[in-house]
Parts: sequence; structure tokens; C-alpha cells
Amino acid sequence: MKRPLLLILLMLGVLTLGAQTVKECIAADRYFTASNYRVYPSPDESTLTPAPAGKKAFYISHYGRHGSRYLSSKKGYTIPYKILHDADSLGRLTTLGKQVLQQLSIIIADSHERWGDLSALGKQQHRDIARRMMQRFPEVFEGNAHIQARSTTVNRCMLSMGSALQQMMSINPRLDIDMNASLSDMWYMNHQDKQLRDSMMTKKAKAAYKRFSEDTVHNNRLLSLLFTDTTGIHQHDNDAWLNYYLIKAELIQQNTDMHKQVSLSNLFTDDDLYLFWKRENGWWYIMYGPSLLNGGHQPYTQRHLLRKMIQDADSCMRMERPGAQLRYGHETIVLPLTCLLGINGFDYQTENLDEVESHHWWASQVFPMAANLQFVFYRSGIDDPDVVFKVLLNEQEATLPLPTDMAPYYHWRDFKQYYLKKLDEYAKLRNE
Amino acid sequence: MRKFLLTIVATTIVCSVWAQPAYRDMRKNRQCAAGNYMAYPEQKKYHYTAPPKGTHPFYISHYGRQGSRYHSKIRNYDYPWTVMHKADSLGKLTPLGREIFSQIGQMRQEAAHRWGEMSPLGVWQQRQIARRMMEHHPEVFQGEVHIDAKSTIISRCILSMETEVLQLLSMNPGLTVSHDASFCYMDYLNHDNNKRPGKKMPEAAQQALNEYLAQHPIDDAYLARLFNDPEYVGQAIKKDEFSDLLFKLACSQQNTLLRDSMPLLRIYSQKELYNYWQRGNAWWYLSHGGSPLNQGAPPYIQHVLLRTMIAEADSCIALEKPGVQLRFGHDHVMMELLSLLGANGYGLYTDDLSTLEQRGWISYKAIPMAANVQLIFYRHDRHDSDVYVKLLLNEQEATLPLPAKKAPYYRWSDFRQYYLEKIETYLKRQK
Repeated sequence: MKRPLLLILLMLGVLTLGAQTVKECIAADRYFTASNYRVYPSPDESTLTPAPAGKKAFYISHYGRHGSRYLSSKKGYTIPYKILHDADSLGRLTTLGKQVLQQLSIIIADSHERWGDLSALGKQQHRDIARRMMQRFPEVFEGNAHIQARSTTVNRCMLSMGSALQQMMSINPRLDIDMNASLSDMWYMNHQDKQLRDSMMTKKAKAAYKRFSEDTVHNNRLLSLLFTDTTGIHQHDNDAWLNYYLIKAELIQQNTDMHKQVSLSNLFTDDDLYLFWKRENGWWYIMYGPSLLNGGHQPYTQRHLLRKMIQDADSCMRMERPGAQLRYGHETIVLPLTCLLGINGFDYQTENLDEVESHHWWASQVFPMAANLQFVFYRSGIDDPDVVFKVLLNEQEATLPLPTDMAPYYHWRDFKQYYLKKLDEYAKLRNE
Repeated sequence: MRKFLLTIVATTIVCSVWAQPAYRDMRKNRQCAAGNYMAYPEQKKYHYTAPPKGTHPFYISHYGRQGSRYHSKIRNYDYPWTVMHKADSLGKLTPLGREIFSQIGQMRQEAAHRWGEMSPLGVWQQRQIARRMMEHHPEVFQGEVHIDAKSTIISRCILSMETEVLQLLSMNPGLTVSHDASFCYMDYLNHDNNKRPGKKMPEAAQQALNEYLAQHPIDDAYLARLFNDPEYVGQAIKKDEFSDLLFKLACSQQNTLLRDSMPLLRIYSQKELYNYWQRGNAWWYLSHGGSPLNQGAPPYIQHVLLRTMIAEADSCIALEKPGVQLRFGHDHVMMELLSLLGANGYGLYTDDLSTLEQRGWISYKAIPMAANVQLIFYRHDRHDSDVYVKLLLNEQEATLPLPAKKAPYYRWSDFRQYYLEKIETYLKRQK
């Protein structure tokens, strides 16, 4: 009797988790709304399914985003600064408005010459992820295990890679590390597909996005907090831009120590943040998701990466101790790759942007700072014909749209067959 | 009589060789001709003078160049390759020419999409440098020591930094490390890069360089070794550009996977190699050394770096275990820093370009790939106010223009006073 009860309780737990809404997530953590500025949510370290009977982890294939960073482009701060500054010079700011202006200037000074840099928190995230990877799968990292690490040629990615490797080396100084960041690897590490990029925002998608978001961009409550006189503020949609950039300015501070000094948090209600999140989520769905508004092929930007990961895994499996392959890049890779793989249902396709949220297509869950996918491979020995693996999305066990008799583990041969066929079909379409 | 004559001849040769240390070096090792493209020359053994009695090393302050790398521009590979490809298709290459063409093709392939990046040899160099740094100064690295590493924002420098740090960690996993590469350090790691005189020389310097180059013209004789038809060469090949880029490729080969195959530098006679090097050395001196012809200005570009190093050393000296500060950047910065320091005579101030070599102003000894300056600090203990410093240039002891009871160990107080005053004086004069 005890067992069924436990089971029911467990199922209930799973169900409530599954039934969670974005608003509930926000109530628990309002910075869930930060979308791609979201700080990496450190996972519960005790929630992994034991290895399948008789098999041992022997190889890890990884792709991760750089850790927390400073804002990449100055204009995210200077646009709201200018709007407020202009109003201030005309005496149109409230006391709070003046405070916000001052806080923005502090934020700008903090980011000076640091645009796009990995922050201290970003380095720590990668150290922690690397440490957990080694603690959870020690067999992969034993002795002089080989670690192949590749990064895009962007500073913050290289420093993320360096942080992870330093952590690994300090745990096991015998590791044999091969590290590089080269233009010659960009064809799979950060592939730019002109044809797909040019077809992201089709007319149809643009119209749908406009309809989806236009009621949510203005924030009159915010205006009344900041301005004594809002004359001219609606020109060029300045009020909408101000709302947008101030929210982003607040959200990204969580990635540096700046949030300890300044906070724009009191300017926004949870509902404001929710509307921001919703717009962003719709935008990412169109641009990098499997949206049918532009043909549903955007995730195929990552076809070279997926093929490379399959090929690399195949050749690594022939080795006695293949170690780990670590790859460091961007959210614009992690998100479409997750969609291409259909991890956790992120291959959900629709034309209706209103359906995206209710179908749990929440980009925030995929690509926070330091987001990562880890494919962990298991076998009984080098001759084991049935290699199995599991996928961790941000270090949590994830599902694939494949049949399996041992979830969260999948059979490698099933995976290969399914995805190579998928990739081949798209290649035919593109005459590649 | 015969003996006497022989002696005279021998003496003359010895004298001229003595006056031409670079020529002598190149006879031993052609790779020296590459100047700043030379692969880091490792010594079999490193000999160090015993430090002042009772003192031990406690802190290292470093500036290093990235390890061996590929050329940054595609044209460096494509232009010579295209010229030779065309000649080959018309049957205009000699057997040697065909061999060289094949080598260039391989180099071009190896460097494809890796332009400006560190090569595997570069990684190896950085590992060895870090390994020896720790082996030669174990006291600095004992226990939970902090390594502070900073790099310019160029990827080969970042990888150099990460490579050294990983090597140090593999030898002492207890080290704590901070590492960063950001535009915010560029002010001292690569100061005023766009304003430096090397990019646009003062007129007097340019004129002197032009005269010097005219006196040391490139000998076209090598062309006949590669091409079998002088008429074709005359019509089809822009000699200046081809010579320049082919020589640069030949220099760069030692940094690649093809470093052990038939060296392209064999195309040239000793005299030709030496001549190329002299031309390059004069350019380096006028661009990055201090000469009346450039108002002595280039070395002072690094006043920000040197002041930073002095200030950071001062605050590190106050610590019990300051550890190591690693900084990664570029050859021109190092050349200017060495000139500003006057290390090993690189502070030479002259308008006579013909004397550079005999007075020791020799590019490849200062700034090969992975070149590095290490200031090693010595003291009895933390309360010792009498701190000594020595400078290692590419891991070999160097002299400074400072009084010393026991060179190459100098009093830190003398060091900081001399250079801070030197910088101050210069900056005042600028105002």
C-alpha cells in the first residue's frame, strides 16, 4: 500500500510542476522574466536517475552558453538615459525620475569598457557547472582523461571555457586538455545561415508579432512615476522604448555586482515583467524557435552542429576513454539546437503566438546565462553494442521525442537514426 | 708570409663577424632572420646568478607576447601562392620552385580560417614557459597562492593566458586564479595602439628608413632559383610585393606544423637572409625603439604599462604571499617596454641605423613569438624593506641601466625611483 501512495504523491508532484504557469514562476522568482538575461538557476544536485544496470558513464558531449555578462551594447542604456536626460533638462522629471536617471549614469559608468564582458558571476557559474559535471560523472574524468574544449572566438565564451577548465584542472590536475577558439570551427560552433536569417521575420510573422505585442509595450503607470509632464514622450514611441530598455537595464544588473548598488526594481510590477517576458518569448519563438509563421525551419541553423556532435560521438565511442568534449558559444545556438532536438517539447510548432506560452515553450527555461546541454553516454564496455545516453538541459534530465524503454536514457542507435534522417530530409530541401 | 696573410684574413673575418652578431647567429640558425616571427628559442639550460644572500623570490610580475601564430592576413598566403600557381601552370618553376610552391600550398591550407591564431607550437611554448616559471621559482608558487592573469582582447592572447594558467594549475591545483580579458585593461596592456608612431612614422624617421632600405636593396637573385624564365619573371611578377610576402611566409614557417619540413628559408643565401633581417630590424627600431629620428617617443607609449607594473608591485610587496601577475599582449608593446626600461641595451638612442646590430639592438633576441619579460622579486621576509628585483628577458637574466652591487639583482627602490622619474620627466617635457 505504501508504494502506490508514494507513487500517487510523486505523480501529483510531477503534475503540479508540469502545471506551473509563468505567473507562478514569476511569483517564485521575478527574474524568471529576464529571458536571455536570466541568471543561471543552479540545479538541485541530487535529482539524477541512477545509471542503467551494468552500464557506466564514459563520455560527455556538451554545448554551453557563456556565463553572466555585462550588457553588450551601450545603446541599451544610452537610449533610456537620453530620454530621461532630455526630460530632466526641461524640468519634467519626478524625484523618482531623477533618481532613475542618476542610477542609469552609475550603471553606465560600471559597464564602461566592459560591454559584453563575462562577469565574475559568469565565471563562477562555469566553475560550478564544471565541478558538478565532474562530481556527477567521475568515471568520465578519471586519471589523464582527455578534455577537448572549443569556444567561439568571442571573449566571454573563451573566458567561460577557461573558467570551466581551470576548475576541472584544480580537481584533477592530470587531465589532458586540448583547448582552442578558432575561426576554423565556427562553421558548427556558431553557424550563420544567411538564407534562414533572412527569412526569420516574414511579413506574416511581423504582422502576427505586432498583433501579439502591441497592447503590451506601453506602460502609463511607469510614465506617471517618472514624469511630472509627459508632453512629447509618446513621440517616436519613446515611452515604449523607455519601458523596454529600463526593464532590460534592471534585469541585466542581476548578472553583475551592480544589483547590490542600484535597483530599478521598484519601477515595475510583476505584471509589467510578465508582459515583457511574454513579448520576448514570442520574439524568440519566431526568430529562433520552430514557429510556422516563417516556415518552421529556423532550428535547422544548428544542423551542422548536431551532425558534428553525432559524428564526434560516433568516433569517440571507438575509444577506450574518450573523456569529454566541451563547446562554448551563445544562446542563439543553444535555443535552436534544443528546438531542433525537440528537447522537453521545445519542437512545438504553431502559427498562433498566443499558444506558445500555454504549451510551455518558455525560452527562459532553455537559455539563461551559462545555459548548457550535456549528452552523457553510458555503456558496459567498449564492445557494448547498445550505447545509451541521456540529455541534461541546464543539468536537469530532459526528454527527447523518441520512444525509449528506459527514460531518461535513450538508445544511441535510435537517436542517430531519427536525427540523421531528419537532417537528411532538410538537406534535400536545401539541396545541400 | 702566408701565415701572416692568413692571420690578417682571419682577424678581418673575426672582426667583422664580431661586429655582426646577428649575421653570426643566422649562420648558426637561419630562423633568427625571422625577427619578430621567430619561434621562441628555448635554451637547453637556464643559468641564473645566485640571489642576494638570504633572499628568496616571492612575487613575479610578467608581460608576455602570444605564442607562435599564423599570419593575420589571408593575402600573406594567397598572394605568393597565386603567383607561383600561375607560374607552375605555365611551366615556369624550377624543381626547387615547385617544391617551394607545394610547401606554400600546405602552409596556406594549415592557416586557412586560422589567420592570426595561435598555432599548436604556440600552445606548447606557453606551457613550457609557465612550467619553467614555476620550476625556477618554486617559492613563489607554494601553497594557496593567487595568480592574477590579464589579457588583451585578442583571442591568441586570451588562449596564451589560459594555457599558462592551466599549466600552472596542473602543477599546483591549489592555486587560486583570477583571469580576465577586457577592453578595460587595454589602456595599459596595449596603450594608444592606434596612435603609435609605428603606424605613421615621423618624417625624419621615414626618410632615414627609406635611405637605409635603399642602401640595403633586396637582391633578386633568389628569383632565378625559383623560376626558370627571367623574361617571364620580369613581365609577370611584381618583385617588391612578392619578395616581401614570400620572405614573410618563409619566416613564419617555423611557427607551423610544417616547421620540420624543407625550410623555405633555404631559398635564400646567408647574405640575403641577413639583408632582409637588417631591413626589418631598422623598421622595428624606428617604429618602436627610441631614436632622435622619432623624438625618442615610442618607448614612452608604455609609460602606462610600466607605471601600472610599478604600482601593482608596490601593493603586492605589502602582501605576505603576493603570487604572480601575468599579462598577455603583443610584440610592439614588449619592444617599447624593453626600450623604456633600457634592458640589455634596448634603450639605445641613435640616429645611426648602421650601428644597431653591433650595439645589440637586435629584434629577434627581444620579441620572438611567446617573448616575455618577468620581473622576479626577492626579499628575506615580509618585513624586509630591502627588496630586490631582477628582469628575465625570455627567461634569461638581463641588465638594467641601474646601479647594482650584484647585477642582475637591483634594488626595487632604485628601480621605481629611476623609472618613475624618467617617466615624469618625459611627461613634463611633453606638456
